Amino acid sequence: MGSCIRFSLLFGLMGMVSSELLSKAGVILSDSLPIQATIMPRKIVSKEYFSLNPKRDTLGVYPYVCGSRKLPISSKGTTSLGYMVTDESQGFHVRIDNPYKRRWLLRPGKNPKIRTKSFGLEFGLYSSPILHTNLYLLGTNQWKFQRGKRMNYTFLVGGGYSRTFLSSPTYRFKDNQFRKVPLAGYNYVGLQAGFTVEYRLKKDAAVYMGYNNLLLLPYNRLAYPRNQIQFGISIPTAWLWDAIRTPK
Amino acid sequence: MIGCLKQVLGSLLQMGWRLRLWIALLPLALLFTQCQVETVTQGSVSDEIYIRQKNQSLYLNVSGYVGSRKLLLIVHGGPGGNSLDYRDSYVRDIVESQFAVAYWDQRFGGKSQGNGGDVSLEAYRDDLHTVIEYLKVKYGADLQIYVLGHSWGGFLTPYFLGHEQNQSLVSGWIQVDGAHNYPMNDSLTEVMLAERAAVEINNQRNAEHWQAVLDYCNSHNASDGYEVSVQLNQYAHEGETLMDSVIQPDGFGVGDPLGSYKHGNFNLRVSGIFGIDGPTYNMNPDAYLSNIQIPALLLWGKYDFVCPPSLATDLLSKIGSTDKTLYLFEHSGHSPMVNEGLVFWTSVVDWIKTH
Repeated sequence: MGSCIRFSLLFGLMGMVSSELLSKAGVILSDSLPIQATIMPRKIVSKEYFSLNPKRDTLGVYPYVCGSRKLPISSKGTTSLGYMVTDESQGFHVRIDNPYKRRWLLRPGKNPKIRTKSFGLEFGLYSSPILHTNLYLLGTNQWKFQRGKRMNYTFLVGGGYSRTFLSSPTYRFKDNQFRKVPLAGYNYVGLQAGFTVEYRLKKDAAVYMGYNNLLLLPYNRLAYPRNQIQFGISIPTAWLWDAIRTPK
Repeated sequence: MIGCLKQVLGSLLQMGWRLRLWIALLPLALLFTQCQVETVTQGSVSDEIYIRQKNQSLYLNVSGYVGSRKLLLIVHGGPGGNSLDYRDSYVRDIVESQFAVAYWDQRFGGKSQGNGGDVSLEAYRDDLHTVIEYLKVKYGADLQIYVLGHSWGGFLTPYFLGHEQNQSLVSGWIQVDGAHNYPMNDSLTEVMLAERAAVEINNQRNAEHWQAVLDYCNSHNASDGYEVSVQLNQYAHEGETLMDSVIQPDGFGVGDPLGSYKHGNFNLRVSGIFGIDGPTYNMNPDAYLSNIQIPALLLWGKYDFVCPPSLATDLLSKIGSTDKTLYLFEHSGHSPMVNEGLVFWTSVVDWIKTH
């Protein structure tokens, strides 16, 4: 569907597709876009909006179904899998991003500049042997800027739930006895902010490297910052889901 | 083999759903079974645990020869400090080879962690009580425990020992450059800094710095408030580094690298923000110092501007112990275990052996 819109846009620019057809494809053309012109304008801006709610999806970006329900997995989204490391811990994260707004800026003879806003879910796990192991699930908002032939720059903020498990056995004194506390640890609010630089590979896949800060709060009644470096790969979600099941 | 597996699977499938549910829940049930502490009284140990106490999990590391039936419990400085900073090569070689050493991270200190927690002095005192109770359960009720309090830990330890019957839990108290009386500490620091400043200015040693210190001492009073205390404390730490007589730490005296990590800076900030030691200014230590009857060893650095040696003199005159010794380290500042590690830990071991 993503490539379909892009081709529609290109053919539209060449005057081969009507504006009516383009609007059906979910593309909003700026006033300056001369559909019938034979000379390319100096600058063309277009925007795409995608619903985050599969029930309100009119563009068919949520093709994956489970039973009779559409899954909230966008065919236009990306899935990132990364390794993260600090001076005292390491772990990994998986994030699924569903785009909800995309803005194109086209100039003749230049690479398009594409800005994409996405909402995502990130699951992460890291182990700090001297402190704890942490599992977290965060809702994220990502801004992705596509520049040049190969580079993407992303900024990301997120918030959600974090659960730590202490690195050593934990005992509690109760009823005049010390007893082991199973799965001892703490619940925190997790807040995240970070940026990455992506290098695009073929077909929208990319490798990335970035910095990220995860705040746990109220850790010791304050917010404990954890600075980490991330490395990973980002691929279109459709690749994964198409491999699992055929879109309907 | 495969046939056997098929047979087992087949019989599992034929089971009723209740039985299958019980089998599935069995690992969970085992996981949540609350194990009790297993007592260890022989040999050497290297244990790391947390003790859950008032929404904080207190880190405790016990290392060394527990077969000696003697254990040294370190009450670190701060507040917000780190017990593993004390675990340098001297301690490993000299102390852990003969006794067990318990490194306890206080709440909001070291590796202790939680998503809340009481910051009151009573909470710290209760924590110390619980830690000692745990040590008695884990390493045997006959274990002799010696509590070593340093700096802020030197406030906490007598505060704990003088309360109710707490001192009956331990066999001895080692006070190292401790701040048992905060208001008195500040005024003694101010006096010591001003006196030393005059000497150093006369001898033209770091005269510019000492002049600034002297001016500050002359224009402020230690009782003027927390900001003055903080500034005096900073001058006190700086002053120690300017003393030629103070031996600078060698590489041998470096604490556990896993202990002194960035988490420490975070905890120091937490302790500062919540003013954990603030209530100490409203305490009257004289009310409980006379209750302390157990043997006491006071170890002090001669050039400690942070907790001046005059505090040791005050302690000697106020604690109720009859067995009390003061040892002054001629080449040390606030942390003689760092400046004169070998002499310091040897004197600790010798004293424990005889008590």
